[in-house]
Amino acid sequence: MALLTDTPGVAMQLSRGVVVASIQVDLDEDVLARFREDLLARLQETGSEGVIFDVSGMHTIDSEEFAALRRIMTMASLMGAEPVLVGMQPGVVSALIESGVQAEGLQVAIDLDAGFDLLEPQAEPEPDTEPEDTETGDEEPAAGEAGERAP
Amino acid sequence: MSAKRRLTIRGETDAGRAPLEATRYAMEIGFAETPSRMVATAVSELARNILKYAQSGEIELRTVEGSRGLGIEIEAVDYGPGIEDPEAAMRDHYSSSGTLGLGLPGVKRMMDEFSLESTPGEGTRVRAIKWM
Ligand SMILES: Nc1ncnc2c1ncn2[C@@H]1O[C@H](COP(=O)(O)OP(=O)(O)O)[C@@H](O)[C@H]1O
Ligand SMILES: [Mg+2]
Repeated sequence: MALLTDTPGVAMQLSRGVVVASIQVDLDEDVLARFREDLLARLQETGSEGVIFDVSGMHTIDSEEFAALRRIMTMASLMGAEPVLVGMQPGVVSALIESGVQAEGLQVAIDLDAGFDLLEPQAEPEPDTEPEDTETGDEEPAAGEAGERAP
Repeated sequence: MSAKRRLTIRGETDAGRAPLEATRYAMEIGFAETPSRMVATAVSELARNILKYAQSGEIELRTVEGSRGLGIEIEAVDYGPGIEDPEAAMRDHYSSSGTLGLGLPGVKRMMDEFSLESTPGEGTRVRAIKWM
């Protein structure tokens, strides 16, 4: 389900009870301010217990963008939504490590699927509004569906 | 060998575009993905500093050749307020603006060579090279 946003370059959707925010642009002040507003409003509307920040579309994340992301993640957790950062490219990670930013306490997953897996135990919604599919059951998803998962 | 590329930094849009231009430039020369993104992140930090502290300036990207082969040189120049204490500015977490203070020291770590020249009241010049 697509969620309304006013933020250019940031797409938000509600998927498996989790708000997924895909950031496709570099975060300047203006984008950040709108993104913050949008996200807080969407979290309140949906009562979502998890939020995934997909940064696979970001070419670079410099020290200040990283700090801004962390602040937004903290805000999300204060709204009761567990934040997970997914999709950091290897080059982005290398640059961040060299920058010396603190990554402690961050929930990170390699990609969207892994991000959902991290949140699933907390965020799985009651399946009563999902008539078309039975994938939201309690059993482990069938092998091959989520790709490579750690044993 | 690629021609040099000059990026004028006057606003957020320029600062946002600079790392994209840097990535493209690095890939054109033949840099792999990860070092390209490091160069681009360094450019992002320098563009941000120009905007924040000097309002405007320029970043030039050049291809250089050394004993280790090809490299990219970034030169960021502005005629802003300059830096009173460059040694302090190079320390992790030193910031005169309440941000992280990891920009300049981060650029130094991301790149192979680094120099900072600054004269208070006249401006700042940062040069950094990354070898392929
Ligand atoms: N182009 C510049 N002109 C003037 N001062 C600068 C410039 N770049 C950096 N500085 C000074 O050096 C300090 C450290 O810069 P940096 O490591 O990027 O951290 P931050 O930008 O987070 O403060 C800045 O706080 C500022 O005082
Ligand atoms: Mg800085």
